[in-house]
Amino acid sequence: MIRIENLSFGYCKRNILKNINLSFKEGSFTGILGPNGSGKSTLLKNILGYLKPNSGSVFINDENINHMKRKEYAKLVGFVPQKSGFSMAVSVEEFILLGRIPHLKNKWNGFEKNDREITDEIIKQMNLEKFRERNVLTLSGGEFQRVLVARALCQQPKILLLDEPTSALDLNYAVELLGVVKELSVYKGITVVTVLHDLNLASFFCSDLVLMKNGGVYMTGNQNNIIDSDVLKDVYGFDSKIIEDGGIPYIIPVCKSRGVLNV
Amino acid sequence: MKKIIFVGILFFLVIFAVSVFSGGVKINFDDFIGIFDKNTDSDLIKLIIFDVRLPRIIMALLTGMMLASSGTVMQTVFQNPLADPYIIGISASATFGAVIAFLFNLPDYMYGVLAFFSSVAVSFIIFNISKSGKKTNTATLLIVGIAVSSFLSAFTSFAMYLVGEDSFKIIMWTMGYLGGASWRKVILMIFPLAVSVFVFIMNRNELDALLSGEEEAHSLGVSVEKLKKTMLITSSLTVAFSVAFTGMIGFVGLIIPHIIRMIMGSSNSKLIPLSTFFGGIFLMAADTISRTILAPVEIPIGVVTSFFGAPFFLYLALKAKRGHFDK
Repeated sequence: MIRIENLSFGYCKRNILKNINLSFKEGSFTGILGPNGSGKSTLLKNILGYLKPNSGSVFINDENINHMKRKEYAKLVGFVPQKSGFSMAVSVEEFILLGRIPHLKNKWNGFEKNDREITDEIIKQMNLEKFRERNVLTLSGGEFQRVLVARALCQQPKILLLDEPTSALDLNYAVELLGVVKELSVYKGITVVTVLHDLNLASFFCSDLVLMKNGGVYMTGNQNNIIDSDVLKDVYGFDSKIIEDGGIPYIIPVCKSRGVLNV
Repeated sequence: MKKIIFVGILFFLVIFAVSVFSGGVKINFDDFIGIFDKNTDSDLIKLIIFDVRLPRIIMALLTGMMLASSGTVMQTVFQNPLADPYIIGISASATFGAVIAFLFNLPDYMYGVLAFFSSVAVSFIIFNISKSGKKTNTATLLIVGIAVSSFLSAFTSFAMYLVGEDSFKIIMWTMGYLGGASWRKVILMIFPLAVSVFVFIMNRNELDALLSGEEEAHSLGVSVEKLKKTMLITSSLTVAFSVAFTGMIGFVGLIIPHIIRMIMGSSNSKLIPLSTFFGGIFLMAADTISRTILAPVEIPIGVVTSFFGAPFFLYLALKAKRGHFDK
């Protein structure tokens, strides 16, 4: 579905991504992991086409995204940011409706009945009916993230890209949000690629994992080979213990006293 | 929505009527009826109403519409509620262009054309300076605005001394003056206004997307760079033609969109048409004040709008400092 070939990216002379080769299968749920500054979000923005690679390309269904029209791309790929930059007062409904922009037939006529019906459906599906008339600026972080997913779904994408969608959320909202995305992936066959910080959430939700280090892909696979003490020690540099529950490995960080705390 | 349109039309009619009847020469209702009576000698009244006041009132209306609509759109492009063509220096650059046309004795439509070129150039400079960040930093925007305005005003002042006796015209540009209204100018202003408002409304949904920031707008299928450039050029067009014929009138593009946002929310589908409409009404009212408050002496309309606008600007700036964009 998505294929990345020899992709390198950098600002000025500083290379942030070095020769990345990856592919994501249709319907997979891939988590991109790695320490701060390893290039996770930059990679996602390259897939999004917001940043243009210095060399190499991203292909979706074998088509180079640089050769696609913005609107055509946006019909295929939806995006959920870490936190929306939106700072104006509009209603939740108006906000979600923006997801229909790539499908606009006539800019002057604006959104049509069909667009409003699809928006309605998604509002119901995402359980946002009681917020419909609310000003988006009055929503809590967790509610806003759900609205962002709803907006992306309005694009009727085949692929959903998420950039640390849960980093501003408490665990309850984080699990809920990823649960919704997981359902979309399982029941609707939407391919999901998400940057995640929380290794345990990644282990629980993702079918595939990509581990990054210093702008390169360190390892690909799934929770069984990546959620591993030695691997994580090498990439993140911390000691950990792995426990298993229901066949899924979870990580417990081990805090070694450095003589500062008396533990 | 219906309510606010009704209120708008009511305002419009009342202010229009007051505006027609007030001014240096008092016209009462009998005089007005006299126009339609063949036996009364009403040539003077006719002349005042049809050749002096009506074009002027309509020009005020059009100017207000131009300034408010371009202000609304610039605030979205710069993602900053303080982006008003007057404050960020685009009006000053349009004046610069108009003054150049005047110095070279070009015909009056060229005032608008040169004003357009200079304001497009300056708006792109401002745009590029502020492009580095995701949102335009308010301080940067204002500093650039002040610098550009001061520099170009210095040139305008220099031109005043250069011209000597004719400098009234240049003073008029720097303070806003609707006294030179004519039907010809009305026609010259209608086209850029119509084109711009059409382009603005056409792109209303993409402008809404831009409110989320560039990255999200991009992901929603908007060609961000192209949209921003189109919007800047179009707004410069309206600002240029309004400034070329009526001078620098400040703060209209700031006050009106802000008030409409507070009442109706920020969706550009409602915001653009309503701001345009109410901007026109506001300037019509301001013009009526400017020619009645010290009648028969007329004060420049820019004085009236700044009188309301500057405190409002301060209020918004202080509010923005606390991190609120709106509400």
